[in-house]
Amino acid sequence: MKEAAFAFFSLFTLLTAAGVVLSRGVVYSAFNLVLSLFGLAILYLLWGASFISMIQILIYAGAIVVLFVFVVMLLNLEKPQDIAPPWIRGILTGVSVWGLCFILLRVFSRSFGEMPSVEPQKASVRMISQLLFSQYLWPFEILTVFLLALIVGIYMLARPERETPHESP
Amino acid sequence: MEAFDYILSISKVVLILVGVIQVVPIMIYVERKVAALIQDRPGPNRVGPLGLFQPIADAVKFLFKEDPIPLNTNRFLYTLAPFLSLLPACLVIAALPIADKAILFGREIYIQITDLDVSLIYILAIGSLGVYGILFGGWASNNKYSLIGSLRSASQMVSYELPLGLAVVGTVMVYGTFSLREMVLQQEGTFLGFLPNWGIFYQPLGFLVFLVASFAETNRLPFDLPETEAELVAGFHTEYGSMKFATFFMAEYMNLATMAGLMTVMYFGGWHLPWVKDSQLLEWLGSQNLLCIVQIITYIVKVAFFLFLYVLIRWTLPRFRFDQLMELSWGSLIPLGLINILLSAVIMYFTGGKV
Amino acid sequence: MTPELVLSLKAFLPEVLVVGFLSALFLLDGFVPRLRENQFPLWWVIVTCVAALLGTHAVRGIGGEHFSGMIATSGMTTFFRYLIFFACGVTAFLSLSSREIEKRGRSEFSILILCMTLGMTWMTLSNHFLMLYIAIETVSIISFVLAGFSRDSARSNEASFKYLVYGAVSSGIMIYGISLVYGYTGALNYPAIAQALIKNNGTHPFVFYLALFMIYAGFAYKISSFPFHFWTPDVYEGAPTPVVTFFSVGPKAAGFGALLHFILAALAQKQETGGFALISGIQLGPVLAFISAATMIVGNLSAVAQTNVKRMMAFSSIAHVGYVLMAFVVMTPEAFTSIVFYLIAYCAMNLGAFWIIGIVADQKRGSDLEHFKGFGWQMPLVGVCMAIFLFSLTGIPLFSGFIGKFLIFGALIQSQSYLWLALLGVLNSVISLYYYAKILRAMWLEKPEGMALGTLHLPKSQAFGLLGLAVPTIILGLFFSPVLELARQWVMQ
Repeated sequence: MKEAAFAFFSLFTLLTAAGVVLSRGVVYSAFNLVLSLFGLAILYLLWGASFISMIQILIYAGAIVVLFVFVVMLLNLEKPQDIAPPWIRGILTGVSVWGLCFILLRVFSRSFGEMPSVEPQKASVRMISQLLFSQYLWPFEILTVFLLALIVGIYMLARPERETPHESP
Repeated sequence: MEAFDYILSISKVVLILVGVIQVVPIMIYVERKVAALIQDRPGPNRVGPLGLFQPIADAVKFLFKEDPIPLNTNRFLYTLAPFLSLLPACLVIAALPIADKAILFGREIYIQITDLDVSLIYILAIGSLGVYGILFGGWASNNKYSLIGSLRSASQMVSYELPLGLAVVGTVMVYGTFSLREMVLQQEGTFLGFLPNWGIFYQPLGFLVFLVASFAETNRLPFDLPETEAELVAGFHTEYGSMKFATFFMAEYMNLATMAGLMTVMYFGGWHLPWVKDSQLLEWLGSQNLLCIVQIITYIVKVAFFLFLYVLIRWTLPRFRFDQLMELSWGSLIPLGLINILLSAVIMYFTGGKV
Repeated sequence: MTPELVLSLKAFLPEVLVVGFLSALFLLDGFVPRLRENQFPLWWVIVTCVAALLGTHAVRGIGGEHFSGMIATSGMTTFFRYLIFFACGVTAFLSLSSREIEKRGRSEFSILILCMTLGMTWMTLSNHFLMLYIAIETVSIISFVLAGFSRDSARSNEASFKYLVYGAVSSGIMIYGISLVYGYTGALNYPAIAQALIKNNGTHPFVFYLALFMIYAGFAYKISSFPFHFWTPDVYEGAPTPVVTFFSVGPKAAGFGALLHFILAALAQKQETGGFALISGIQLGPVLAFISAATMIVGNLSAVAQTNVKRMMAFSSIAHVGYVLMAFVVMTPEAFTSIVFYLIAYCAMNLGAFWIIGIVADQKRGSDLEHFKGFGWQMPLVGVCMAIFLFSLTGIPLFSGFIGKFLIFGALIQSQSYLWLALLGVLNSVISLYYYAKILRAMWLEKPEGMALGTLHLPKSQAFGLLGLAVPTIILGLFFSPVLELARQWVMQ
């Protein structure tokens, strides 16, 4: 039962992720992105990571892709230009992508026989927070500096041009 | 899981969902009647006594109206958008606890669809998905004003998700759990001897932030710039008629019911009567099921109070301008939310655990 | 506070100082607007870097793992800290008189540079994949912003965008590789990974090598080595020159430090002789040799055809990465010492070269070869320094660059393997002489266009700074033994 659900949702995620790249029209791509992130969240749920799954929906599907869609709509990029690629490029791309997939599949199916199997535990919020404040405290705190720099950087990129020079802020 | 559990789950879903959907016609009527009262006019009084069948008339109207689809639009997204709006509104109800336990068929049944251990984040997460219906609706309408309305609305909703989340973090800190049922269970009895042990007394600032943010999240006045009649015709649902429009409206009212429900659960004690503990009531009433009915009624009364509050404020306050709206969120509510968290943490530290 | 937390914080002192100064700058900037638009923020950065250098000197003895295995300090990390803080200070110094950093962006520039410096030191310190990834992302994302700092220049926006796209793709590949390694070894901590690898005793599945290559993708992007170097010319050409100066030294050094730390801690074991040997079954040599050769060749050959000096120097920096990667192929202590020395020399000469390019870009509003015509006669001091830096980059004896290359080639020859690689390195140095000489010819052997001789003005402080970089370049070329000893010490710890 669990395997069936896993298979279904993995397929769903992969197909919608492919849809992001293959859709005609950027808004469809964004929509497929939401669906694939949603699928990922459900996969997390299947492995017992309920907190991460909800956070995934909240942040990725609920905020980040919204901003994607904003930009797409503001720039009004609906119709992609249909530049037909030369057929030789198509063949080369197809061969290399399929070849890569084949290699990866062979490698994966052979290599992981000896892997330690890990039982998925139910990752409760309490457990996550305990880890976050003991073992992973350092990256957690360091991220604040990163976010600070990010905010400054975003401000730099997005601040309005000033017409008149030298007005004090 | 036995067949009984399946049947139980399905019937719970159906009952609770249908129950919440009933809010929509009631709200339609209440909104218009209260608006009329405030504006000193009779309001709907043609259809049925006191106009009580007005919602039915509205529903019939919606069913029989022409359902236009504009030319040159993205038909798939145009038709999908109202349902993208409705789906999260329906999904969110799954986590709200309505009452405690009923004993039927020899089992204890919790009166809520499910109790996740991350209920609160689930509600926030699914609620944030409601933005997509608005975005795609406005965009697929092939109408500049709709697009502007939908972008405004989406940016407003995203901006106000943050204070919503921050206010919620305060209650999570106080109650130590994300599960809404646990939160309600901890809110019985009295606090400091004379107040009911409700969340609002533990987190007054949080409640305020949550209240304001919930107005903005549901696009209600004073934050309804996306739907202003004067400026944008009807905002993102300009080009929608009949059932699609009705779907948007249903989604909005159901969101309203959810927000009201969240507020009662987190800040107003959920199903508890003030000052009275459940065990006392159980002794007094005798039967668990009777208690359950009392709890459901209490919950409904509280939610109704909040819905009434929403309607009242809608027809009393003027609308915010968009930059005032953004300023309020980023400049006032988020700092207040953060200060709330800080204060709660400090107070909790000095009183050793719960307040 | 547990004692290990205190020790960890002590080991982290330089970065703590930087964070403190950074916060102070932030607050000062916000509440005292008078200080914003003159040179105060940049001087503050210089002061911070000096303080950080002193801090590094103070804690240079502390080694081992800290913060529950997240970071690890050693002699090598001390060296990289010195290098990175020094590069940051010099960049701030040269931005003082640069016209490409708009005046009202100065404080943001300072804050961003300081944060990027922090990110770079974290890269070299990180002992855990999570930490590494956070550090790499910090450096990358701030780099995107810095590359696009001149908002009205289309080239700058293009540079930022290209950097972003490449960065996103390579970060994605890297984290996929990290997840595969986690799946295979069950740990994200470098020593724990080494333990798990040792247990598997010699045969590792192919997917592990694939994963290693994917992880290398992330490093290769940062240091701009062969398969992932395509962003370098466009970004170096488009970004404002002070930013490019920082890019050419900082992230490269940090990337090398991180790569070194990763290989030494996760894939190798310390031998009794003091060197490191890769855990049995892991063969990095051939692949790294190929990558190094390809990087060198691509860098040098592409630089030959360029007419824009910034682009040319971008390719030259790619070529230099190829030279350094040669030393990764053999993992003897001499090789590591040579890396350290080479990076010191490279830092000085590259900073100097880009500094001068920045001066020319300011004065002549462009950085093509035509803009360099006759510049040597217009500003003799600058011309001489440029000659010093360029000769050092080529590897001509008497300069530190030569010693660096000599040490690297020597390490290869000493280990009696990959001699063809050393030969290739020498050939590439000869090729590089051509394009470095092109710049020098434009500067000294051609007539300036439009402006009379000797009319350009350089602030005295800048001149002193340039000399401060040029003179050690010569001195290191002659008296390199003390520094070499220092490098050996760092490697041993």
